[in-house]
Amino acid sequence: MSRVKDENEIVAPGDLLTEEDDVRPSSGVYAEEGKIYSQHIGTVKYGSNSVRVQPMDGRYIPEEGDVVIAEVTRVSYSRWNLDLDSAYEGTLDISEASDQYVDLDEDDLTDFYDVGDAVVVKVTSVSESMDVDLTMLDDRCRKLDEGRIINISPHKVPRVIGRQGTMVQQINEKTNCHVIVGQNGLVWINGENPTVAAEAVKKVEEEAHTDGLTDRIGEWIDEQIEGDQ
Amino acid sequence: MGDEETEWFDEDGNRVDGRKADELRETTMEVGVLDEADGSAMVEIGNTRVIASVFGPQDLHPKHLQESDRAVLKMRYNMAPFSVDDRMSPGPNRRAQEIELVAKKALEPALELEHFPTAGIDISMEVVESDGGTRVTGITAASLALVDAGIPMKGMVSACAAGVVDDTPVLDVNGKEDKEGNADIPIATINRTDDDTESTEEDKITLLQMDGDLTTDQVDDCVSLAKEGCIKLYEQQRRTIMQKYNASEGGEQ
Amino acid sequence: MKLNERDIRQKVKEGERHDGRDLEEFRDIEIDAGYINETANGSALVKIGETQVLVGISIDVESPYPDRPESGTIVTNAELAPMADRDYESGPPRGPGVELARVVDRGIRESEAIDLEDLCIEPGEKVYTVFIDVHVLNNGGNLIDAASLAAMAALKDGYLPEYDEEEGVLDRDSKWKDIELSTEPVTATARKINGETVFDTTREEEDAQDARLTVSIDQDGQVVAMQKGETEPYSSDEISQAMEKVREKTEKFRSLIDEAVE
Repeated sequence: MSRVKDENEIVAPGDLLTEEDDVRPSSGVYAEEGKIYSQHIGTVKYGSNSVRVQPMDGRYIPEEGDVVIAEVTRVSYSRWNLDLDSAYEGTLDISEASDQYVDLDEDDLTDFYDVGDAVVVKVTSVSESMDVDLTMLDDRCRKLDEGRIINISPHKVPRVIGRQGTMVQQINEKTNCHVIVGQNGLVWINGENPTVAAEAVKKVEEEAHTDGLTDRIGEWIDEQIEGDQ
Repeated sequence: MGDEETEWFDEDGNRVDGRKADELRETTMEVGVLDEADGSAMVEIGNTRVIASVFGPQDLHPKHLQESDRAVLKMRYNMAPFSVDDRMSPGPNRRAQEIELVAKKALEPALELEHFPTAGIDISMEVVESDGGTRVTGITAASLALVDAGIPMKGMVSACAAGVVDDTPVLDVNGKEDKEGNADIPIATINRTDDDTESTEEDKITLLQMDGDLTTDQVDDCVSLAKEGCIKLYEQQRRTIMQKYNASEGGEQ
Repeated sequence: MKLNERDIRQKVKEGERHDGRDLEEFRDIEIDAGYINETANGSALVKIGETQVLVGISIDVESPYPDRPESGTIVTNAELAPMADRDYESGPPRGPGVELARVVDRGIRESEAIDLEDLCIEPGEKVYTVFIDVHVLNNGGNLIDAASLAAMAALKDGYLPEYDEEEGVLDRDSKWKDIELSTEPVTATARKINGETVFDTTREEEDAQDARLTVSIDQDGQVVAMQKGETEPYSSDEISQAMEKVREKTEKFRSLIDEAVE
């Protein structure tokens, strides 16, 4: 009985990870006859008595508590439908869009948000049949009026944000931009050097599984900014 | 189709393209070849080249096709007009429809579709050049594309065809051997690193078709041969996906 | 996304693009001529940035049209493979696929790059048909320019197989002679975004475009084909300017093709 793959090793689907008795399968893995296998190309992570595989890539699946960037696709009488760049769209009810009283017969929902508007929004609940409810009533939520949105793998979001936000903070400071990273992999960028910021984000995504990334990204941004002067 | 009988093996046991009976054609695999698709791969075996793409999980329309507890797979197989010597007019055809069905069944058992209720996963196989074994090459490429897209899988699916020429089982039939030979047996298998490659009880064959006129022993031999091919292809698939992340292959079979 | 469209339109006025290019700058162009080993009678895979278009040439022998007994035929077809774009679904030819085929075809036909009478085997009986099949593999924007370039490179790579008149059989594996091209037309599309001229748009930039003008030019600098698309009108001056810019931008295309076919 042994651990076949170690912490942070990269594995492929069908790779045997461990045959240990006391290890519980967590996400990205499955168990069969006492053996635990990977379901993804990804990185092995052990917990105190569990093992999971962090996938390299995959489309976004909404989870309660996620703050994401979304686009309004439809406006109805009392709610909006939003595209979360996922197989599952989200619904924002008027009661979650404003804490003021709204007279639906007087006011038009498009006064708040119209089709095509981009917003930062939070996922409040996801039902078993994948109905996703959203809210704007959170400090982090807002409408995005300018700037651009790029796309990264949702699985690389933690790396782009960095431990305690250090990676995204560095990008913000060095490029003089405001970057908001949605859990769904949509990243909003606005500021002085948005192209460099966007490329830096993409670079972190590509090299997420390597070491010394924060310093390398910092140096790279400096070079780019200098080159543009 | 000339007057002479084809000499399937020369005096050294080499086939029409110089291979031995149990040899695979030269194989190249590449993953992440298309930018728009969520996952993609290209597999080239001899002169057969197939590009596969995966989109999903994504919204599935029309709604009545959705399944409340799992994702639904849609498979497309298409041959580019210039992929065959005698140009093929674009458009749907029955052979393509059949291949779509069996390819779907070859891949489905390896996929954890319950992770994505109501969603759809679209798989596409485009044959850009054909010289025998397009469906198995397509399945091998599709499996790589599924991994690239991050779809959770129990193992990697590889596929290979065996045939019989001159009463001899041969691995990975090329176009000529397929057309003029005595049989064509494509199979697909789900593979994991700890497979007992000798086992005939625990192997998982998800595609099996047979065209021809053989004894049961010959069929057994062909299946066994094709399985060997599947294993070699799996090893190459695994290397290919690991190389994308500059990972060493570690933990060989 | 609409936000990106607005941002693209705004930045264009400042001479900036999301990927840092100049407004008239092309992305890296790669041409792989002879991409198909055995089956096609000529082929080329062109990559412009992330856009990938594969063109294959297939030669057949058919009877000529009754009103043109000594002319061979050219047939151009374009397929937008569903793998190329999340928004493409399988099904019958879509509008954009048909337009793409016709624009690629026009550049080749109107320039008379291929002498149709050269394709005649037996007047009134047998002529060569040249099929140009455009297969879009990845839509990263600017399919027209990529497809036109690939078609040209594929034709330059292309050959006519031998036709055995006695047996009445086309020997597809044999090469009789290269496809002769009397000229090499090259094509580029000038696009208008918020009043500015932009070349080689990405997919997102195309969502933000107001109009486009595709121009094909032959080796003598003659304009042989044009196609305007999208909604906003062009002024005559804008059309003249676009032609000149296309002439300039396509100068390096011929040498790129030549290098690839070597």
